[in-house]
This record gives sequence, structure tokens and C-alpha cells, in this order.
Amino acid sequence: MAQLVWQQCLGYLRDELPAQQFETWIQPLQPDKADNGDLRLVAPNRFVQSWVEDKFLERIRELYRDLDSGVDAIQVSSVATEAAFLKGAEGLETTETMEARVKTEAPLAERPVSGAILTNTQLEGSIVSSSVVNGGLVSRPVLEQLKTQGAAAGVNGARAINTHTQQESNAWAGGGFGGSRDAQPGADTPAKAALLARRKEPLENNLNDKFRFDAFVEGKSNQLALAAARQVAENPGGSYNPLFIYGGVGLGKTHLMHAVGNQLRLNKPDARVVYLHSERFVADMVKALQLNAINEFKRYYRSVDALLIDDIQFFAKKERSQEEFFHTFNALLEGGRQMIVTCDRYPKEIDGLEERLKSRFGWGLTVAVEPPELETRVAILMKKAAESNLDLPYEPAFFMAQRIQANVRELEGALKRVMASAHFTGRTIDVEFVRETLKDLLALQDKLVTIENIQRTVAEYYKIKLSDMLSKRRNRSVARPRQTAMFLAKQLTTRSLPEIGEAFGGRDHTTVIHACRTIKALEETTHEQREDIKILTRSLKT
Amino acid sequence: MVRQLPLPVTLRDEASFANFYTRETPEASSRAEATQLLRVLNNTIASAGDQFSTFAAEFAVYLWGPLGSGKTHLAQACCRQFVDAGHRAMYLPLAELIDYPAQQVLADLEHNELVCVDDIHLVAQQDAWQQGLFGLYNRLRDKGRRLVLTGVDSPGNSDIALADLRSRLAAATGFALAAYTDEQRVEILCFRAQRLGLSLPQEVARYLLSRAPRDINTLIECLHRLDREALAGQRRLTVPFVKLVFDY
Repeated sequence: MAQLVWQQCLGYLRDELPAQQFETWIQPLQPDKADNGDLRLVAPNRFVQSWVEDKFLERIRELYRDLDSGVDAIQVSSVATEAAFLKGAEGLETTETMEARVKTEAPLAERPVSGAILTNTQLEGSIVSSSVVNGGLVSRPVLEQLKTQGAAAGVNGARAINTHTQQESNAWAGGGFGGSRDAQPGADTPAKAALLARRKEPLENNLNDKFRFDAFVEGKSNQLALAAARQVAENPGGSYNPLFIYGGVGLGKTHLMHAVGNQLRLNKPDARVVYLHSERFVADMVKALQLNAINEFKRYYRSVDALLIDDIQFFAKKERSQEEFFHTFNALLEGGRQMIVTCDRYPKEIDGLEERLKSRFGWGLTVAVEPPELETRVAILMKKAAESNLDLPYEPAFFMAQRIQANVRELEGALKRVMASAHFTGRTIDVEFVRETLKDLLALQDKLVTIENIQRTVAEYYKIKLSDMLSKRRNRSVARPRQTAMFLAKQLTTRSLPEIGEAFGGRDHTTVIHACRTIKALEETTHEQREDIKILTRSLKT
Repeated sequence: MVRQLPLPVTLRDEASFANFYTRETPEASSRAEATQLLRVLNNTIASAGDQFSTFAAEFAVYLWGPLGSGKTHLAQACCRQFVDAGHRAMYLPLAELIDYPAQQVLADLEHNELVCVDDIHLVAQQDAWQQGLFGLYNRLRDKGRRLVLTGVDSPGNSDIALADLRSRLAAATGFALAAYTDEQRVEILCFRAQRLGLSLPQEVARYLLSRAPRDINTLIECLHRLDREALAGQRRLTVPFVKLVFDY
């Protein structure tokens, strides 16, 4: 019955509202009849809940009255609430909010008053919101307030709004180290009960068994990282601890990390290996703090044999998480457990990361993965095609690898597109077919690198004026970027040396030769120059 | 006293795969690609019941093209297919949501079998949104869900500042949608009118196109208005009637 009336109501709303509004806000609502005969509409999250309450609830109530449904009251709740009450799923306060809150944790009296819905009251470590205070109804200013906050957060990451109840907070679970609804004897809250229960279950290792060493394509660009990873897999907790793998996106860092984890489990099936994205670590910590269960959190992460944390750069500026990670890190290292960390850049270059963490990352082995060279790209394509049972001849693979150079993800995306096209058209994959299928992607790859573009990019990179590129000034802060730009113009364009010299303020071609030699020598001897060239080349070509 | 509700008598015209225009013309052969795309999306949806193993590579589809090339239609149609198949789906128009805190808007959405994020280019310079979407991407992937993203730029040309998110666009199964030609716009109007049970002669569609704003979304809105007015006035769709309705 509840479903039937709801379907009727949907029919009217669909006609009344623009399609976009209907699809976004109304369609995702799930009707649920409460025990007392009321209707409960479950929204995907609290934001949708607030939106629906604010803009559509009145109309829904009206329709229910007009449809003579016999339903007295209609409430909107959210998945987080439902899951918390019914399934023990995760939800609740977002990590950003919590990080901000933890950071600004001050005695209650000193906290700023935050307006109508920010009636957060600290109550045994959790928060009561206006949705409780107001008996489930969120006032109209909620969305406006959220909007203001969204705008503010865009600028300076201002505090967000907490809209959950203590009960909900206590019922959090799931994720890395939580997730049972059965109450545990001795636990003073359901949340702690969930934690205690979770501890008795096998660890959720999050490892993807597809990422194995034998599925990893070795090339010059990654052989050192691969060798180190293999070494760690055979001798965990040894001298390569922590293993810090860094490099650009889509180059195989995560694959290597999983491969080590899988190998560790293969060598020792009861090894407690946990992989997680840094965001998840932060989220777990935030929940633990929120629930006053930080000791459980600590015990959980310090009990593993190997902890693999991906994309550590997302720890930047999250001081409380760094602090906790630092202690976890120390505890694991002292206990001879293996740590593997990946990052998109060299440890010293991560802004917003504490120095003591940076220095500890350097204690073990730091290895880079570089963009794969042509032969490796071909091999990657052939391997991925074979994994999908696709017969990819060498020529089209070579053609794709030659044209798509940035990273493995782009290669993958292109291959998927080719595979989908081949599947649906039934055509054989040859160079012509690939060219046709990927014409928009390839057109982009062919984007001409011009001297002007190089000058602009290099000037921006070194934070000098574009006019300095062409000026007669010879002090090093200007001359080195200019030489770098000349070097790149020689490498990436087909322009002649006199033409390049001319484009740099009418210089002689011998000046260009000198610049190219200087930068070449620097590139071979200094890490910094090598990185600069690499980054600039990548940004110019993609 | 119970008030009588008017019966919704017009035919539904919400976005679906069935009313997505895919006819190929010599001017825009990429429409053929649209047909192919529909098959990919259908495939994606048909397999929605199968849980991917975690980290499945093929869970995301990225559609790009200029304004009015059908991205929103397809994103909404995907949601509709999922819902009709008994799954949960969520459509996120970033144009409408961008002023709100990303973390709150995107919280818990991994409970949906499908999430469609429309106009991702709008958050190209917004750190919080990009990180939020990157987090959502990871959560959806880890749970074996599906993700459809739309934007105006191809992955390689995208100015999304967060490289992690940009590279994931590149890894998605990507499709370009071309802008419609005027001739196609006329055909689309007639096609959609037919789906609404209306007879819209081509010359009337051409007349509308020559007077109304030419983006396809506005044109479809005009069509809906004509539908209502024609029903109310019991009129056929003629040039004088269009003149009358829109005061041209």
C-alpha cells in the first residue's frame, strides 16, 4: 500500500517538477512505512534529506492528504540514519568536518555561535543537531546556511555543519575497523560494541587480487620500484622499511603496493595485511575520535603485520591525522612490521606535511616510478588486452602506445574504447580502426607544442614574467628558466636553432646551442633540474 | 473536503534511451558513436546486478561534448534505467549543487548502485569538490558500483586541477558527443513530438528553430509548452499556433 501511494505521488511530482529536479531529489527517495503508520522517506544522505524537507516535503504531504492515503505524518530521514539504526553501516560526519572540528576543538563556551542550525551541543563526545531539536524538521535557512558554507569552504575550508544525532553517532560502524550491530558485553556504547565485535573478525585487507607481481609489466621506468617491492614482499620489515613509492598518477604505484600485499598473504596466509587509501585512514580516525574510541583505533592499526597506505599526499594539512599516523608509523616500525606508502611526489616536496613524517619516510627506501617508455607501453596494452581475452595485434598496439604517452590510465581508457567499438561493430582491430575510434583523443595528442606555449608554461612554472624570456637580462633567476625553455623548444618542436634564437628576443643560434648543452649537463647531474624538465615536458605534452 | 487533483494526461517525456536521438547524418557521423554508446551504457546497466570485484576497472563511463549534445539526457536516462531495474540511482547536477559543501552533498552516495555526475568541468578549480569526487570515485569503485560522469572537455583536455581525478576520467570508458546540426535539431523536435503523441510538421519545427533560442534543451522546453497549449486549446501544431503561443 505504502509503495502504491508513493508511486501515485511520484506520478504527480514527475509532472509538476522539471526532470532534473525530479531525478535528483525525488527519484532517489525510498518509502518506508514506520510502525505507527507514518511514512518515512529515506534519502541517500543528509544533504538530500535537508533539501527535500526544505523544498518538497510540504507538497508531498499535500499530495498524500489529497490522495486520501490514511498516512498521518511524513518524515524524511537519510541512509546514514537508517543504516546506523538498522544495518550498522557507516555514515555520519564527514572527515573534513571532523578534521576541522577536531582542530578547532575548544571549550564549549568559547565556540562561535553558528546560527540557526548550528546548534551543536557537545554531549559526551558527540553532537546533537537541530534535526533532533526541531523534531525532525530542518528549517528553511538550512540550505542557505549550507550554501554559504560551501562558498566559504571553497575559499578557506571553513567548518561544515554537523547534522546528526548522538544515537546515530554512536551507531557508526563499517569501514576499516568497525562494522557489527551486535552489542558486545562490556561495551558501554553500540559503537564500541561494534568495534569490539570487529576486532574478533578477520581483518578486512582491501587487497585486490588482480594486482599481482605477474600482472605488472616491467620496464626501465619502474624496474627499481618493482625490485624493491619484490624484496619487501620476500623480506617484510627488513631494511626497506618503510618503502616509499612515488610518481605521477596512473603509473602503477597502487598496483605494486597491492602486489606486495598479495605476495605477503601468499607466503603467509595468516599475515595481517591492510591496504587503505589515506582518506579512509583519516575517516576512520575521525570516527574514532568522534566516538571516543581512539584507543580501539590505535590498537587496530598497530596490530597489523603490514600497513599499506595509498596517496599519502592527502594527509597534507590534516594535522590531527598526521599526528595519529606518526604514532602508528612509529609503533609499526618499532615492532618490525612493514609499512608501504605511496605518494604523487618526493616526500620532501609534500606541502603541509610535518617535517618529522617527511624525515621518517626517508628512513627506509624511497623509489620512483616514471612514465613508461614506448616498449613498456606496448607491453602494457598487449597484457591488458590479453587479460580481456582480446586479440590485439602488435601494430595497432604500437600505434596507440606511440600516440598516447602520458600515463597508463590514459592507455587503459583508450584500449577500453577500442575494445568496446570492436565488440559492437564486429570489426577487426587494425591501425586504421584505432585511428578512427580514437580520433578525438589522438587529435589532442597531436596538439602542437609551440615556442610561445613553451615560453608561457616555463615562465609560469618558474614564476617569472613572460617578457623576461625575451629580455636581455642575464641574472641566473631569469637566465636558467630561459635556457630551460630553449632546451624544451629544441626537444619538443621542429623549429631550427636560428628560429628558436629569434623567438627568444633575437638571440644567436649559438646561444641556443649553449643553453641546450647547459641544461643537458644540469639534467644529468641535478635531481631538481631533471624533475623540472620532466614536469614541464609532461604538462606541455598533455 | 478532499480536493480533486487534475489527472496527469500528457505523455511522459523524461529522458530515456528510447527517446535519445541517434540517427546518423552525413554531417555528424559521430551519432553512430552515440548508438554504440547506448549499447555500452545498456551493457553497464544490464550487468549492474553482478557485483564487480573490488577495483574493477570498467565501472566508470565518461561522456563529453559541448552544451546541448545530449550528455544530461543520457545521464538521466542511465538513472532511469537503473531505477526501473529496481536499483538505486542518484543524479547529481553540479550546476545546481556547486555552491554547497561537497563533503555533505557527496556523503554516503556509495549506497547507490549508480551515481551520475553531470558537468564535472564546473568544479575544475574547486579543490573541495574535486577531492570529494575523487573520494566518491574510490568509494564507488571499492563497492563495485557504477559511475557516469559528463563534462565538456575530453579527458586529455580537461582542466580539472586534481591530477588524480583527471587521470580517472582518462581511465573511464569515454565517449564524445558532437553538437547537433540545425537539421538534426529539427529532426529531434519532430522525433520528440512523435514520442509525445504530437504531429509536428518539419516546417513548423524549422519555424520554431528560426525564432526560439537554438539550444536543444530550450527547444524541447518549447515543445513541452506547445504540447500543453495544444491540449488545452485542442489545436494542431501549425506555424500560426506557434506564433500565437510564443508571441512571435
